Amino acid sequence: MSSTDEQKIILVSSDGVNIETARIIAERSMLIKNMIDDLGNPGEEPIPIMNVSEAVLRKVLEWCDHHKKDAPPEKDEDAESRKKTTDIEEWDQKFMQVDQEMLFEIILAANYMDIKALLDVGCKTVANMIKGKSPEEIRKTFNIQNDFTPEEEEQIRRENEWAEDR
Amino acid sequence: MATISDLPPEIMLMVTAYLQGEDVLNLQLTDRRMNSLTTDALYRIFFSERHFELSSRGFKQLYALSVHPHARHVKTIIIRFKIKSKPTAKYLTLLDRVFRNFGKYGKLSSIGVRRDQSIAHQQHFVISKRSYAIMREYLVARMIPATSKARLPLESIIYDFVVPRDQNGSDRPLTCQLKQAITPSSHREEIEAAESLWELPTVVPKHFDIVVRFVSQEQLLSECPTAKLSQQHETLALLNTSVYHHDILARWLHNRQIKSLSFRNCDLDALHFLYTLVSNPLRSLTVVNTHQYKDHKTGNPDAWNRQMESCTRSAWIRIFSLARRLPDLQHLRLGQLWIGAKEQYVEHTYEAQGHEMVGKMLGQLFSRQQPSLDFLVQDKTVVKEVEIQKEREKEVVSEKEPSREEPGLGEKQSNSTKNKQ
Repeated sequence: MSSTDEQKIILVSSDGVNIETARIIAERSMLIKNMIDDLGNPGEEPIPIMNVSEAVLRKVLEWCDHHKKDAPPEKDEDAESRKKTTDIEEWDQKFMQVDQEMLFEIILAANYMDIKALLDVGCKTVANMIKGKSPEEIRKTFNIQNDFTPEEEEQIRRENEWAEDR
Repeated sequence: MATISDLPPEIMLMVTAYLQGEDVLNLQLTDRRMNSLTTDALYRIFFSERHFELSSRGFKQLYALSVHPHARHVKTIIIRFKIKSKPTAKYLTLLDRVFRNFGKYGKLSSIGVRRDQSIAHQQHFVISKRSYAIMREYLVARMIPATSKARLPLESIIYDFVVPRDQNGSDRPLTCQLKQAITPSSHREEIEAAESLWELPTVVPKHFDIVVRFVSQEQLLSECPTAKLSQQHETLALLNTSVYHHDILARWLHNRQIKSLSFRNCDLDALHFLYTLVSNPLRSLTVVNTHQYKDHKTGNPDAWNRQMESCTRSAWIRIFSLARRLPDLQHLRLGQLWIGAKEQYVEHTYEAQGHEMVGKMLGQLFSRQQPSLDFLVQDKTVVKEVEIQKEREKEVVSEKEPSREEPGLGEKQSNSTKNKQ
């Protein structure tokens, strides 16, 4: 194992907690990778992760640890082919079995920390929660308040008649 | 506490990208925010590309969409056709109005016709005259002029044969889609531009390594966008070319450096272009499963059979004539070359004479001095091993070349029926 892989760095969560982790794990985040590249001298200075709390950051690092040996994402990956499937590998499915608050925090953290694969897993998880549900069931699942007037709702339904006969 | 409402729009768009149409519709109906966030996804999914049947019902639907507010989101219209479906003249006149309606929004930029997948399957992937006629009749004669009149900013014309995945589950592309930029400067130019599409042969890959789309005559084969020509082996496989392509194929194949050509599932008439191959250093030639159905005319079945027999015979003669003129030819694979109609063609009439003729021609080929020719004829109804063998022996004796052998011919022939298309 190279020395870079063994290097430790310190991340600081938004609530001020220092978390030590291996550089190879943290560099799944493009945000952290770029900061390390830009700043140089990894490990000397703690890296602040401003928008992510300790609990979420630890969870995100758990995911990064499991996926530290994954191939780096391909820049030219075909967006269409990537988006066709909502299949999630088993470990990731279990990882995402958290309460909704944590799920959305993880998604937001993945977005902020620029961890594309984790963001995809999060979006797929949300998509799977929406799939096959009626509007009312979706509202119930995500605790959404229906703020449409009956007329507005009817109008949308009427406009979408085309979709049924595509 | 983070909720789904805290997800920024760009993340919600990523979520909707994983959803199918009905789920997006349901999400849209949950609240105003979701409604506004999913609108783009909805339009992307449902309205950017719309398909309509080539039928009275399909044209009615197309017209109804054109007068609907969602017409403003439509960018592509595809008419899907089955061979027998056809709208009545009354509905055809709707097309002008349809495109005039789309013209108000100016978003529609792509039109086309696409053969229904099930039809492609039934037709063994061959582009039929009927498909071709539909392309001309509807796309060229109706849709393009209608879009031109409506002054739509047409960017591409789609001429598409959707072919199902092959049995081996190959990942090779199976859809041939030709797009050509159209400048709507004048009605006539558009027609001409669209007509030029018909000259582009569409070669659909199935079992082959080489995929070729003929783009222009001047372009080098190796530079063809979809060609994967191996420079080392100089191999070309053609599949499903039809009679409509043979002129351009002839021009294409003249003076190339092609050493191996495979020609399968093609219209028998397209074999006319084969003579151009003599300008290539061809070492391997495969002509397999070349066939043609002709409409049987009532009246004289005997005359019909004679005519079909003559066509088949001339196809074989052409191939052997070519083979004799290819000095470097080392591998020849022939099979399933015939012409006829399912019900009317009497196979046994051809069989007796055909065997004799083919056997004789093979014998002549085989008697050639150099290089030795490895040939395989695979056709259960046309050529029988014993007759080829007989002719071969006759030729060998007459040429006094007892050492020349055709190793494994019998074995190859027994295997060959398994490989039939």
